[in-house]
Amino acid sequence: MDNHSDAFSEQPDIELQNSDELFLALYDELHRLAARFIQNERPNHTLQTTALVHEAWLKLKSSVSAQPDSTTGLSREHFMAKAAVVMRRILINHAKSAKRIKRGGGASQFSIGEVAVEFNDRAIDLVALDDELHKLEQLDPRQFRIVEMRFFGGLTVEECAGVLGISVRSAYLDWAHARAWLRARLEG
Amino acid sequence: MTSEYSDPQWQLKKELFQAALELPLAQQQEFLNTQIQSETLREEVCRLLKLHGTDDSFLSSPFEGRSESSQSGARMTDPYVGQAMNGFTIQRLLGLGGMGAVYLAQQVNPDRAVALKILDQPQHQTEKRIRRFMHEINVLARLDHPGIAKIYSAGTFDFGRGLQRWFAMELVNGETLGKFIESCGPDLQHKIDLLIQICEAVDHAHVRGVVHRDLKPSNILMSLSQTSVGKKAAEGARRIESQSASIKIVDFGIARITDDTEELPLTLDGEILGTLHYMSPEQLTGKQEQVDGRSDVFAIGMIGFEMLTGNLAYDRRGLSMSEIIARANVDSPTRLRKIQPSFSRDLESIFATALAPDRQLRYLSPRDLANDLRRYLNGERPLVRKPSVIYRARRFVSLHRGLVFGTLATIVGLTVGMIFYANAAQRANRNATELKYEVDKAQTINDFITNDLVTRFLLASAGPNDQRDDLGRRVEEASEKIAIMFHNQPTYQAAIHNELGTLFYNLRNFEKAEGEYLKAKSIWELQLGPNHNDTLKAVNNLGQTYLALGKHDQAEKLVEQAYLGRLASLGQDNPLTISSKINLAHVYMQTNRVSQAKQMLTEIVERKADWGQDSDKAILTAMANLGAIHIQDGQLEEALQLHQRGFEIGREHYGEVHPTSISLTMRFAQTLHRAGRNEEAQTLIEQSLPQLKASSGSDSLETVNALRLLSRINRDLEKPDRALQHLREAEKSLLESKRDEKLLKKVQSELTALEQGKKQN
Repeated sequence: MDNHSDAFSEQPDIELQNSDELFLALYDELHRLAARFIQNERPNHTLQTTALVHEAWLKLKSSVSAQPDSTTGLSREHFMAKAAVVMRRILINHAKSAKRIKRGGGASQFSIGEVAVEFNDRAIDLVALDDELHKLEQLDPRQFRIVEMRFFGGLTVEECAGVLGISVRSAYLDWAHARAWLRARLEG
Repeated sequence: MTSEYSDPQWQLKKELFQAALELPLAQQQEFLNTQIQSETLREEVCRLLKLHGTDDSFLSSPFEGRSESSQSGARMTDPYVGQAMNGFTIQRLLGLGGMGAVYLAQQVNPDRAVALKILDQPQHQTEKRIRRFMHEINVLARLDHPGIAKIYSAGTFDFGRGLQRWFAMELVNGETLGKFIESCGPDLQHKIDLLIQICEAVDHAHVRGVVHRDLKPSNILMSLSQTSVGKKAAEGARRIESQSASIKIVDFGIARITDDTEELPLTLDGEILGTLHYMSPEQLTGKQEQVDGRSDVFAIGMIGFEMLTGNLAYDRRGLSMSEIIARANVDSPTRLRKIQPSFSRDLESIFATALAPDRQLRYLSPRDLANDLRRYLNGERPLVRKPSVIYRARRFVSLHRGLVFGTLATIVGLTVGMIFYANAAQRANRNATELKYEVDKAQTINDFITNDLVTRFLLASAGPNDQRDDLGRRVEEASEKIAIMFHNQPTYQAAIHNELGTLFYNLRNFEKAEGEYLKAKSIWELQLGPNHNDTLKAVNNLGQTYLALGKHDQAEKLVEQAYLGRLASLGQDNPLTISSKINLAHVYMQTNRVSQAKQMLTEIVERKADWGQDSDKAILTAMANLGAIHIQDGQLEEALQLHQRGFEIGREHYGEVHPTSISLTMRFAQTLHRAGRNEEAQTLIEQSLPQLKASSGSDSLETVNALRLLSRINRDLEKPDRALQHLREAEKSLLESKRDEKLLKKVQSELTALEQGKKQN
């Protein structure tokens, strides 16, 4: 199997020694990911890609600096895995607040839940997904992590396997099971 | 938030699900039936498996997949629209191209609408793309002609994504030439006038040292601007009608500056397919050093011929890309009057000259072509000469191209295979996500192969001594890069490994093919599951490779897996299922289970014949192989019948020179020889031999085998001298190319036997 961290270290303009530089180099990527989430943004929606990235960025920085040991030599995959956690929190929070606003009236400025679901032809209720993910986390933490990384971080199965230190085959089987299980739960 | 949640059977269900998932589709149900007693439990696992198998898009991450700029989703909020920079306001997207996007923009001073071309976002910019973009700017800056879209200004901007390059050019308001001809149906004179306009614009570029190299109807736009129409109308009073428009040539992205010392490689950017029909033989066969203004003359000839007749002068439809390239030097253009006898002989000669396969016989410049077209319009005799007999003879001599030619053909053939993915997906009427996956995949691979592989190869083949090893090395280099280039897109990565496997397979390097197919198979298995069509494709290919390597057990296992998987998911009448069935029958033939093979092939032949679909390649293969079994069984009559039918269908359907019909002809000739009908066999082989040599090379297995057969036939006809002569010819070309030592030994031992036999007589 091909080693993906090699792919990363081949890019000459990125130094691995300093996590800040790594972050800067990968900022673009995060930016790109976030842009996908607000592609369908309507004119009255105020949250811009950059704002979303900044929010994710700040959370990520604080989470990383809280654990100084993990910062050196952080690979791209690990970075994206962390970004996935942050991204999930941001998105779920937005989805929840959007739901609250809907129920309680008030001007809806932005509903990223609405936006996010439009990517998939199939609509996913992020709040419901979050509930099921909590259950999955208790049943099988590893499957939960894989879903989080794949769905919210855009990592491939192989990258997930790399982050978790398991075989790609196991990662694939876990992903397949988690996906089918979540689908059964969400689609009734 | 959530209370504690547990499921005592979680682990068990998960393990059952995952174990079943690793089995072939056909065996899953049986596994569950035997392993699970509890009905509710079984149903639950079944349900999960079903959910797993039905929809790939569920939970697909919005973050995954191809990069932003190449997303086909038109619903994206465009990052540029509404932005203002350098005195332009970007208004809307006009189109996406290989190099980036073209926007409609409003310039403030002077106040006018322009087309703004923006190079991709910085993270997608490679040095090569930047160079190409700058190259187009430089090319356009040299040109100033009413028939060529003008460049106004160029520069860079930064919208927070890094530095991006742009240039603003004349906005052309009309449709493409192709659409214009279709919708407006201009008369002959009007069409020829348009053609003259094209000639003049291209000639202007040539005079300034620019060869376009990619002229085609979609690169010629119709401008409705009244001023240029007026100017044209003054030139040739009677031509222009009220609704007429003038032409504007666009897209100088791969144009070549002839006086530039820096040579730009042929970078086709995934446009090979669209362009190929209008490409000159020297471009098709990769002889970059020969590409000059006359290549553009050829393209104008193709465009004009199509405008006038609605047909292509070189009808390449239905041929694979490798076949088109193999025939590039062999074919002659269709005569104009063959399609429409009402055209004059003068017009026919003009097009025959513009379209001559040998560039030395074409018009020297578009201006010369324009002049002859004017003479024709004025009722004068054009200056063209007709192709001479000497020229025709010369063309046959120069057919011999050898390896560079053949391998290039293979590579470009792959590219088309990629485009096939997209077409097949469209035909299959699948859901949008899957379709998008297929189209994206095709595009990705196509880009990779055309931009990277073909370019490397063309660069390398510029030298005269290019060898097969060199190509092998280059493919390996490329193969190593795949993981890096596509680390985010493992399914595409697998698809490329699969295609490289096919490349090695065609080069008869089965060990390397095995490696590539193994990679493709394992990635696809992980990403798409063991029963996905792509996975089965790699499984099938790997099986075929093992068969070629003589590893029969492994081959059988895989080919059978591919067959059963396809049978389960696609049904028995799907072409892929049938092709796997033929392959399995082939394995059985190789492992002495002839009756099983015979039964399978008979099923295919009879079933297909019932539908009257007996012309597709699969059934022709099945018929040929079934005939071979009949021969083994001593049923020569049945074999003769099948091989004759295959031969006739091949000729009727593909024509005499198509590689498929040649191979069917050889098969039939061989069976005729077995039946003792040697004269007939001899005639057939002698008819096809020149084409066979031209398309697959004098030292190819096919040609050598044809010569060996011809030698045996002559031996039986008691013409030992001619028998020797044919074998010596085969020996000579094998000695020269050193391509196939084993085959050479075979030929030499036959030669010895023949010489001894002759002495004894």
